[in-house]
Amino acid sequence: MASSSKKEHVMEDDSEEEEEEFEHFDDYTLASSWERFISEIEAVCRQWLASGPKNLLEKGAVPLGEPKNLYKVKSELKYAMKNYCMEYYFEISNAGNTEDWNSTLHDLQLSFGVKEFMVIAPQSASGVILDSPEASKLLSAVAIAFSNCSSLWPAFVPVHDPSRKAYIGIQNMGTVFTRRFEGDLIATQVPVKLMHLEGLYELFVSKFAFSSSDLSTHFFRVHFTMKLTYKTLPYDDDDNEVIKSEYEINESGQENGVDNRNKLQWDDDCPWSEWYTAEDPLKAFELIATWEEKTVESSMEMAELENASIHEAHKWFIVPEFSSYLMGDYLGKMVGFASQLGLLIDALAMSLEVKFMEDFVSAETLGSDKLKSSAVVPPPTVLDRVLKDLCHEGPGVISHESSHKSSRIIKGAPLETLFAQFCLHSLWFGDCNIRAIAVLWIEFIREVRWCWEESQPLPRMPVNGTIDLSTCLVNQKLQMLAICIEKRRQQLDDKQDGVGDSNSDSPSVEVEASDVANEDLSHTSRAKEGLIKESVSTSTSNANLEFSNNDNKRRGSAGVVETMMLLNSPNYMHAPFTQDPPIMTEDMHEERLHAVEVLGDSFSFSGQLEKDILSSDMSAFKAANPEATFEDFIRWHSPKDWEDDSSSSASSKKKWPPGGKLSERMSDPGNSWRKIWNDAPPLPASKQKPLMDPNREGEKILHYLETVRPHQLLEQMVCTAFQAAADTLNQTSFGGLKNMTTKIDQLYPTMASALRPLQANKLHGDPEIIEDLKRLCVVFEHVEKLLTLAASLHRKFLHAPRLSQTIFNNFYNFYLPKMGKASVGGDTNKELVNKKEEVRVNERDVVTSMFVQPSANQSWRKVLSMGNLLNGHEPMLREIVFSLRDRVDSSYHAPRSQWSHEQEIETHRMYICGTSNDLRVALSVTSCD
Amino acid sequence: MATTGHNNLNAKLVLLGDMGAGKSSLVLRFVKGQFLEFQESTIGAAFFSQTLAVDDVTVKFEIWDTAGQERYHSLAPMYYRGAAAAIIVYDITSADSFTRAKKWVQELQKQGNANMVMALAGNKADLEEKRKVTAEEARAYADENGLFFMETSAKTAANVNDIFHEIAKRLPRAQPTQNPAGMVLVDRPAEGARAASCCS
Repeated sequence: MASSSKKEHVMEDDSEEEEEEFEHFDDYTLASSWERFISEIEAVCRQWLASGPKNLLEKGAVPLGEPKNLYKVKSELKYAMKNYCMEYYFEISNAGNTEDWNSTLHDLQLSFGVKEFMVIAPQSASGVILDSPEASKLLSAVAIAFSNCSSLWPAFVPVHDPSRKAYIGIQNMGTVFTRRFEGDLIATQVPVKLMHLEGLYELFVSKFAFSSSDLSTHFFRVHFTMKLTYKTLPYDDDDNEVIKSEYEINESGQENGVDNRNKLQWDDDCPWSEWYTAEDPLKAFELIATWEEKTVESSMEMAELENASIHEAHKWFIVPEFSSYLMGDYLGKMVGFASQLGLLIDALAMSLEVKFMEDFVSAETLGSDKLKSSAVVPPPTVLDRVLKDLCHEGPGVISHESSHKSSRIIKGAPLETLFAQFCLHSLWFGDCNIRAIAVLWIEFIREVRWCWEESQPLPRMPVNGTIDLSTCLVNQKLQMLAICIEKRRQQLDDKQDGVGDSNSDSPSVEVEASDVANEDLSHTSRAKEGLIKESVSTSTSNANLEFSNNDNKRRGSAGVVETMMLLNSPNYMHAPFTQDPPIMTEDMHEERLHAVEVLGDSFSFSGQLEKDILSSDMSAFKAANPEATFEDFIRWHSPKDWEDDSSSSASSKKKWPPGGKLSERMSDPGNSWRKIWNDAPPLPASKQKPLMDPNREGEKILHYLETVRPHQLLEQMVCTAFQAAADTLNQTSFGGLKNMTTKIDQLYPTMASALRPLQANKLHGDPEIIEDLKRLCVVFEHVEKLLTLAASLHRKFLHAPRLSQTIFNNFYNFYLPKMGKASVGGDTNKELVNKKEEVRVNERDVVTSMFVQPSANQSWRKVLSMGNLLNGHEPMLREIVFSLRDRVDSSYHAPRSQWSHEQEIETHRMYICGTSNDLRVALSVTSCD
Repeated sequence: MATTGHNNLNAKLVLLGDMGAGKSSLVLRFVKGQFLEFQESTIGAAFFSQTLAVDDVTVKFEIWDTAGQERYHSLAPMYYRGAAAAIIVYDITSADSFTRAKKWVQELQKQGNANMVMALAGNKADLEEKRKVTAEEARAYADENGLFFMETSAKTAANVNDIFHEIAKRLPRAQPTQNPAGMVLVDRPAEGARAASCCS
């Protein structure tokens, strides 16, 4: 049938030419509908052949996306009341051969070892031809059409059930050879024999060996390549469960539940694990090992190959499988800092209209439905736990080195300090609703007040005598409160010491000096500067003692000023202990500056405070040096305003009286310094009215904390929480991946600029600020996700940093375009994510070690049936290509052929793709007709 | 920090430097056009204001003149906090004062705000015969640290107005609202509608 119709069509070709000459030619070759169908196919095929791939592309061929290089065109045909769809698949640049495992291939390309091909299928729901006469009829129609237009394309027709992905096909290879294709799937109950390489080999050989006896006696030179795909066990199978149960625990307050968790999470030692457990962004890895082509001559050899070590494989590739939340188009699924920060911003938005934090807690203000519905406050047990962590378990030392260099540009609080810790806790307290925050805040302030009243040091607040104005106001207030508490404690100590002191008759300088030394923090700094010499030093102690015997009035000396003699008496000058300059928080500074600005430009303005400090210093100096003059004070306090006579040699310094005079600006009789000097009573610092009253200041701070406006508190909490969350994440070790470092470096300025409106108190009347903050959360989430991935990669590839870098960079490049958009959509770069990364030989051990021996509870996976094991894992996919080549002298058969000499062609090819459950076999056989 | 109105700019400026370097004299020369041979030593700090017109913009300087004595050092942060500009003054006849100026620069770089305009003024330029710090040395240091440098004389008024004028020119006008780092907040509406704003 086929040959006869071929003949007809040769005639048809002629007839078409003739048609031009004779208009009324009755084309009887198109008599039947089948023949018309053939000619239709032929027409389409000719058109496609004539166009060539480039033109087809211009005419709107569709890229398949995956594999990247493949395009298709299609055309619809009708035959016997049925619609058929003919599709032509072609490549643009013909790179690589079809046997190349490493490039992605279309299923049919891989199965049958073809490049471009045609598929013709009915347009039914299943798209598959169910009845086999129909299939062969269709295929022969195509074959005829193709030979008519001398197309060498292979053509395929789907058969059977669609799930079987079964095809039959035919390819006209010039005039001599025809290739036939057949592929099918065994979906269940694969015969044991076919689960093993040996059996598969025999299956292949049986296709060309004539008898089974042949099989054992004759050695065929079968070419064989193999590709094994392994997959690690999912890294955290039941992580979601754990997270869920943790939440339940939080809600119910049974904290012992947390300890019941026996499974160690992958991120247990990551900095964020104190707050939440992230799902491992890397679900699993696929390892693909490919073997180079080798020749196999017996089934015994094949059986051995089944036990071959995977290390013998030619190439290894690794493909990461990312968790869906990384890839997902849906934002906000991941529970992390970003999600909680978003909730905190909601709380901020709700805080605007309310006067006091208490209002959120008290019953009568709960009228608003909005508040009621979302207001879950964790039970007291949880509250206690949080307060305990906040107030009783602070670290001894808070190091600032761990924070990012740009961290300071955000007005928050350093990580681990009291307020930062409070903010992080409130993110996870309940679901961070405003009521829960209010409850936590009120209890927290209660604890702070307790510390104040009991003069207990504030936890997590280092007392270093200064207030960091670059932090948020609450933190400054807490810093100042800590200092006030410290001063109060000293006062208490002093009082106790003072009782003993008054009883003793010898108020020696040393005793008093050491006594006050506790109080005066500036003491040490002055000693460092070398301004004073400790009174114990031998050269001066005599004079010192002598003096104190003569005159008991000297009080509050911190030691002798080396090389300085008083002007009016042959004694060394004593540096006094002075009061610490008063410390101020930002708002106090502002108040002062504001007051000055309101007063206008008063040229001779010097604040009362500064005058008080000067006066205090003068009093202390007078007390320490009863015989000192104003000039002496200036020499000590403002040395440049004293002009030495002699161009000082070392000896002249000890000379008495020292020569010199006050600078001109100090010697003016109306000089205000002198006025203050004259008015200053001699009083040691310890007896002076304090420049700063710690009791009063402490109460003021507590008043501020207790009455802070909710929105002011929430603004500061948002800033601090963002900073603390970023600082926490920043501590993650991720092997210094460059892209990650850059992103973190960018995050800080981004946060700073988005948070700036909060610091300027501009929140009222600008809903856009809230919107901006929400957007900041999205940015934060991106960085957080990337960081989680970076951390996960880092720990998995600790000894193969190149792999973690490459995988991260691939993902980063895939992810980056999404970061600019609100909705993550489109899979333009999807191949970046599924990119295979070649594993170098020295990295193989790292990869192998990821395939841990399956544990007992994973025993269900142990149904091993295929061999080729890797640490007890069997491949999830085993692909094999067998091929048999033969030398053919084609010139005998085809005088017109392009093959003029003997050539080796692939006569049989079999592609086998098996898992532990199913087996797909695709066979192509070339024969001459 | 500099705040803008309709072509008006309020800028907080702070003078820092060793005692006797001439900070108060510089301010007095700039604000009142006066010079006192023996300007009284500042106690703590002094406040002045002066307005200057630069390129259609009126800049109102709120000037904080601080005391040079070590004793007041711990108060300095409250004056330079939030300042849009700082003039660090040293005395060209005193190497010590130059050393001290460098310390101030360091402190500002560490603690001050990042956008602060910093000027280094070598004062008492009229006392050429007593010079201890060369202009070259100071200029090199200024270039290295991103300051601009002028030698001034409050006594002869040389460069005094110029240094304030130059600061006024360098003050950031409308603060750009977009992020410096190039990360964008997604779906942000057009920036133009928003008034330029900046922190306090």
